[in-house]
Amino acid sequence: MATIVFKCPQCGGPFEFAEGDGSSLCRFCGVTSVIVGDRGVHRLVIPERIDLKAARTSLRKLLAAQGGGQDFAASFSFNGGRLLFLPFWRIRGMAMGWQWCEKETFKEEIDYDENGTRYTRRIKGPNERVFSLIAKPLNFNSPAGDYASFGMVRVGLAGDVLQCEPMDYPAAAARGSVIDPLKGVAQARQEALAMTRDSADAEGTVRRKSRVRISSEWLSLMYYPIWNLHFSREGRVYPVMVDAVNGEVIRCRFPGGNQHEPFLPLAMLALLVLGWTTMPAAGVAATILVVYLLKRRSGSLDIAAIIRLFAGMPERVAGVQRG
Amino acid sequence: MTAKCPQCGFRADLLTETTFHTCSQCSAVFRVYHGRSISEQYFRHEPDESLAWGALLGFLDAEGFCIPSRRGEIAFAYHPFWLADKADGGTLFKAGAPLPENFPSPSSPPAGDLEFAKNDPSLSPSVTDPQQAFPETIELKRLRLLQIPLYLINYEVAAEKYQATVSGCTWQIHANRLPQEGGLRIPWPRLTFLAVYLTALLTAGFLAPNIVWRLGMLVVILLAAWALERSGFGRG
Repeated sequence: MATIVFKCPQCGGPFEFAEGDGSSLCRFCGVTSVIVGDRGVHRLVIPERIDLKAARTSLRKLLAAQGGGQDFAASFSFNGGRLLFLPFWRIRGMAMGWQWCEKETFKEEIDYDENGTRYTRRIKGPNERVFSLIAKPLNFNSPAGDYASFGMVRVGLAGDVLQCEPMDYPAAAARGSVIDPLKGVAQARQEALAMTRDSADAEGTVRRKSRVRISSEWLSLMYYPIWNLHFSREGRVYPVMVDAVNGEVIRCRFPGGNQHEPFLPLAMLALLVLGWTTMPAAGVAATILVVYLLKRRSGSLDIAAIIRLFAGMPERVAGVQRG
Repeated sequence: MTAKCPQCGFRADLLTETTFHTCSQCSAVFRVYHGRSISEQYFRHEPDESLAWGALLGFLDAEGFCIPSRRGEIAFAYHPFWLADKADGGTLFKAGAPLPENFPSPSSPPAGDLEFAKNDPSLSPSVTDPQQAFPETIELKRLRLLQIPLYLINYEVAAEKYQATVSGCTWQIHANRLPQEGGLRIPWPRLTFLAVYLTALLTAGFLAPNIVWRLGMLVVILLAAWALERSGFGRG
């Protein structure tokens, strides 16, 4: 459950209240404050914990660790970045309702054949009809837009663990871009209810009817900060998304460098000529050695890879990818 | 006819049956179709053609496609899209005007900073009627017109023409066809280099009087060829 920090309207002292509370008592002046949201929706923000420099360093460390060293990381120049606040719908409450389902049933019968060997038969029984009441806590987070280009943001866990603050639009807009929610709350509610239904036991279900509603709903729009950075190399721009809370790179696509091996094919040809011009046995031995080297290089005797090697075509090394 | 401003909620008497209206209270521009006021919003964006071109090159490079050698033709414009909230909670997203041929439209609304449209000439005024865009059978709860900044890029790879749509909000690339790695091109300079090298090896191998001479001559030829290769000779 998230903890939200507020300023007391009477004394200005900070006080905390748990997500879902409707009122809270200031521990400094003792005044009770009623908590209400903007047009029925509480708008909260998780403040960023890392700055632009730390986000950039985080990416450079990843490039150096996974891309083959500092030279690879230094080959990309930093072009700039901006802070984005992505909105997520957050629904907490109790999913309550009923569910009726018809399930197939099976029973196992033990029998023996003419040789006396024991075997088990699975026999279909009559369908079972089950009526059950649903009452389970709901904790659902859903992006309020299409964030496929931003990668995966673990807002659910962050919203439970980190401290949230009431959204101050002018302050957030001064630090970065506040993304507008494009998905409505009705769709988020539908997704939350669908998740509740799907998580019910569905094995062997033939028909199912249900009616589930959210009770004691606490609805909020939670803004999560991420850094959108741009790196470039040779006029090519590579966007990067860095989690502005924990510094983790959540999405990037960096190509690897081109690898060119000039010595190996020349040495193999020289070895073959040396072997076959000396004696047939040496030629066979040289051929076996060349085949072994080729197989060891690429893991298999791929004809296309061998042609590329002898034709001097550079091969691309695996790059760094996240998200 | 009266209509409610989608930004401030002010209800105004409309004196004409035209589509475009400006709220007298908040100056927001909105459209009225069939008696229904529709908000027009746009994503704030500073056009930067070189960044759009760089984003396309970076995408092609990272995904292993061929890179165009010359910069393509780039056309930046705001393009209208309908975003409808259905009564059942879902959303529909459709192009409000067809993009030029071969340029794909984004399939979902991009994430960005939306603002209510003012009288801005850069925003596209012509859109299809919402009744044509959405079938009558779907009950719509809310309808919005989003003006999305898009870069339409024409470029060439190996004398073939390609098109890509780059979103100005997220720099996402949309393309129907991308330049795949071409077929196997015969590297004639490299083949010539290898043929000369092999001829030199075989000549030395057959002419050498014994194994010691042969080994020495082959090593010398190998090192010479390697040095030439490292200097870029024979790569074409």
